[in-house]
Amino acid sequence: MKNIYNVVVLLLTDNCLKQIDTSIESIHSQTFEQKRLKIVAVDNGSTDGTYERLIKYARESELAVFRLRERFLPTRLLCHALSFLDYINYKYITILRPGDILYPDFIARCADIMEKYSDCERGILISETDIREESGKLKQQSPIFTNNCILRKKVHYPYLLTTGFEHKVQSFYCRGMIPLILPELPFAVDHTAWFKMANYLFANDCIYIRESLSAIRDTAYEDPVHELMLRLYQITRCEITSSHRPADMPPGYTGKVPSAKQVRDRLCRLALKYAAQAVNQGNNKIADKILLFIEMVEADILNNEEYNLVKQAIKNSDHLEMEKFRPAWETVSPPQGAVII
Amino acid sequence: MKKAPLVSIMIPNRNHAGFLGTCIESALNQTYDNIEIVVLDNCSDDNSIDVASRYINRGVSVCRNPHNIFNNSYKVLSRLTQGKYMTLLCADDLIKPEFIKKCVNIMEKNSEVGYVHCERDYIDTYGKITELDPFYNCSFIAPGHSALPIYMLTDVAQPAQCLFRRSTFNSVHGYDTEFDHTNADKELWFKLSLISDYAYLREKLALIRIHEARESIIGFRNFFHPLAMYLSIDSQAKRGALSGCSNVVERLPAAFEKLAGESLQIALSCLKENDRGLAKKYLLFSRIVFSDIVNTENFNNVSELCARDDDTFKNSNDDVENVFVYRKRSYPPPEGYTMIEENHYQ
Repeated sequence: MKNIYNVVVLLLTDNCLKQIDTSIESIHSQTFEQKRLKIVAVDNGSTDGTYERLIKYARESELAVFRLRERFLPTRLLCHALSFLDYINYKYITILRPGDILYPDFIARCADIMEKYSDCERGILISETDIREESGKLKQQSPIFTNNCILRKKVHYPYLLTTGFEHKVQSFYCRGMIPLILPELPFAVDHTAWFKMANYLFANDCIYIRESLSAIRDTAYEDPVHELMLRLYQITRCEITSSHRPADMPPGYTGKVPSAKQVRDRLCRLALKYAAQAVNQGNNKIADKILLFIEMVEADILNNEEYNLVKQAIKNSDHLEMEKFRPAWETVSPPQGAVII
Repeated sequence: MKKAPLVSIMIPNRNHAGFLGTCIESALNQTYDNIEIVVLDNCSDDNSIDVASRYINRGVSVCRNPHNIFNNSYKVLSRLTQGKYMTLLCADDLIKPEFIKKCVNIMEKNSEVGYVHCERDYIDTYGKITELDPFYNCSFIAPGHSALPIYMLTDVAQPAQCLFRRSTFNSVHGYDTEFDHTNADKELWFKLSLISDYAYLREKLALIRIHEARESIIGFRNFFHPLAMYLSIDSQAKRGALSGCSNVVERLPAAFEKLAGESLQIALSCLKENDRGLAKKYLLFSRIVFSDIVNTENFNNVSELCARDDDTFKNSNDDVENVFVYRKRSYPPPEGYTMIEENHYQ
């Protein structure tokens, strides 16, 4: 017998009148059975008419709306929003930001894969996404991995963190898999899509799908030094809390995992790229800091060719050929030990 | 007569069998009557559970986690207890008999106060006490917002020096389990100050244990601590800005400068342990967060020590000891404070 279940699309809105229509339309055109699709909008005290627009949708369709009196920071908002879902019967959930769109078969496809592969440890699916520019134009990203795969929590997760700051993914979760730890992360106040996802992965194995099934709004990352620190923090945390010796790995995993050195190498390569970018933008102060960061992460980098190139360029105010800095997020094979699907 | 409100003393423990007994005794010896004591053993490898269970017939409730759940113990503890007020007493620390009574008195008289700090001394493994200067120069109650910037710079107190109002503690979602202790403490004080007033008792009512196995020291070794510090200071400034506290934003540069200074101190202690690799990391970190640190004497001293070749380094123990001059402290209270007299809480 075919499984019957509901899927929630959670829409968190905050003064985004211009963006909600496209997002809601994209949900309405899903190929997944519409009556099993629950759209829940939680409004963070918008004052630009967003809330009124949501009410209009609620009157015309099955959309549920909640409005918060007080404004919350992003993570706390998510936490509150999830509490409104307690009385809804659903199996899977995805969170959509206003302005982002889901391609018509996003939900059907993700739900299918989850039905096939998810279990009590695999509660998250991440899929590649296109980038939606301000003008509405779509830009493709190069996927993280060459294959669909299942990544083991903690051990494979630092590897994901060394992907470019601009890289985005869309997530799809089993109910109850968005961890309770989320609202407590005080510095998640300015989280990027990546960081948000990163936290979820602590407790979950993750299914990676390399198809692009959605389009996400382009957002700039903040200070690159801050981004790098955030990543190093997360990587360190994984290393400390990871108790997954190869022997502990569940069946299906080969038992080999990427080494700490491999992860740090990738992080340094990523950092070098941003240092070079900063040099070309004439921001030597940031470039300097990034070089210090790199040295801090990997003391033996001082002999590296690219590292010295950037160093020279800062000194002589040269322009750097970005070609030399291979993007750290070029598509690679899944990390050692991941299950290919 | 109205009954005194219930106070929960929550004791998380991991592998502190040697200290746990004295710690529980100090909780049992309180002059305050209405107390519940819960020990939560975080799946220790030593005989902690035997030590703790000796106190069951004296009313202490003893629980044990299925495996090491790190700081999440605090969360479990707060669910295991009911008191109107609560304190987190780490199993290696001690509280003095009057601690609960005095803190509760302040809280009962001032309903806006969400948490009270008292003063402390250090105690080592063998019970030797080191006296410390109190942080502030008088006892007071201050608006939480004016205390905020201080927690970007320093932690002021550790959990064993603090009594919380449960309602305030719950509305900030409790202790941050993501952090190592030093950071989690500061972060908790910061969050509490965002929504409540703060009271400070300039009386030494707690003893904080200083020993090798302290989690905070472990945090320094794996380089987790400075990164968390950096990120939390940054986010505190952002949250302060959102709550309209300009004093928080203004202190951001000072907070980074302080963090850089602390990194130098940690670099120095790494040198004492002969770990020059780690010391260098801390030196680099201090430059990232505060680039002008390179012009300070402390920085030059520490980096000179780092750069010595192996032979000279072996003979430089005395230099390592003498690099820093430690400041004494006793600061004036935060703005808008009201001084409190001793008879107010006796």
